[in-house]
Amino acid sequence: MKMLTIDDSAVVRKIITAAVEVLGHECLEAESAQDGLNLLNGPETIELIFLDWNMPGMNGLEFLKTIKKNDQFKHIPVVMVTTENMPESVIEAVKAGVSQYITKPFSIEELMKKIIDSLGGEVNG
Amino acid sequence: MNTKAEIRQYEEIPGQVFVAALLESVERMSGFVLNEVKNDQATAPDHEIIGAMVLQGENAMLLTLGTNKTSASLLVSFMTGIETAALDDNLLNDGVTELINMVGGSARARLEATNYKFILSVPFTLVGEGVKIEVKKRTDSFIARLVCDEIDLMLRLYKL
Repeated sequence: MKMLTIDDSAVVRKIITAAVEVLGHECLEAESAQDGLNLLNGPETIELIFLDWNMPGMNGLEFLKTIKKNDQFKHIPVVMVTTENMPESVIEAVKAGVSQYITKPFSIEELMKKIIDSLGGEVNG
Repeated sequence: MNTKAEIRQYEEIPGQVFVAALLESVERMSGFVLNEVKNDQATAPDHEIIGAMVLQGENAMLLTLGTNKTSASLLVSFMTGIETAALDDNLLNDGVTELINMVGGSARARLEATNYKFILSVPFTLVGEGVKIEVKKRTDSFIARLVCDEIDLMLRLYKL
């Protein structure tokens, strides 16, 4: 199963990729929302997206709203991974269609649990 | 909406709130448990990376996290699972930037109902051998040094 992490922090992308690979999946990396959209429109079939909120250019919430309006991508579950930890932010993201919400800082165990939950308990793709 | 009476008023910079946010961020992301130690200038290593962000609000502040490459390498290695030898400067700088971003975000939530309510700037990094921030002598500031094995971090807050 292929997943996509979109975050302007290379360190956060590496952390997420490592967790995904431990669970037996593959993770593509994008450092901006626009790069993420380009990958979604490419040949790979993405089945789960990890999304940062605060990024230069298009932010994570705008990216989320964009793909949820697209019939081709709106079914893909999105895990928001962000320092935006205020209750109103979480509510806004849920309303926009986010499946899971992880606030930074997070432990690797917490991240892996969210991935497994997002896949309905499936570990190996 | 908090009424005026419900908003906690700090007389001084609430530095320990930021220390708690840093302790939590480092432990959750890397597993290292930092300890606050006396800030002895004679033993404090020169900084090579300073992560920083501006906290904008009624009481505006500059938040910084200074460290050296050895400390940053260990932190980023344990965060990502990448061997220290395979980490380049970009990843070290990014790791410190991301940590200060997490500290700012966590502290913002903790201080939401106080006179230190703020919004966060984009985090940025100052790099270079012996890099430091100089401020006017009368600037109110808070400083905390936190260590764990070879990791040595300096958290500072400057009232702007």
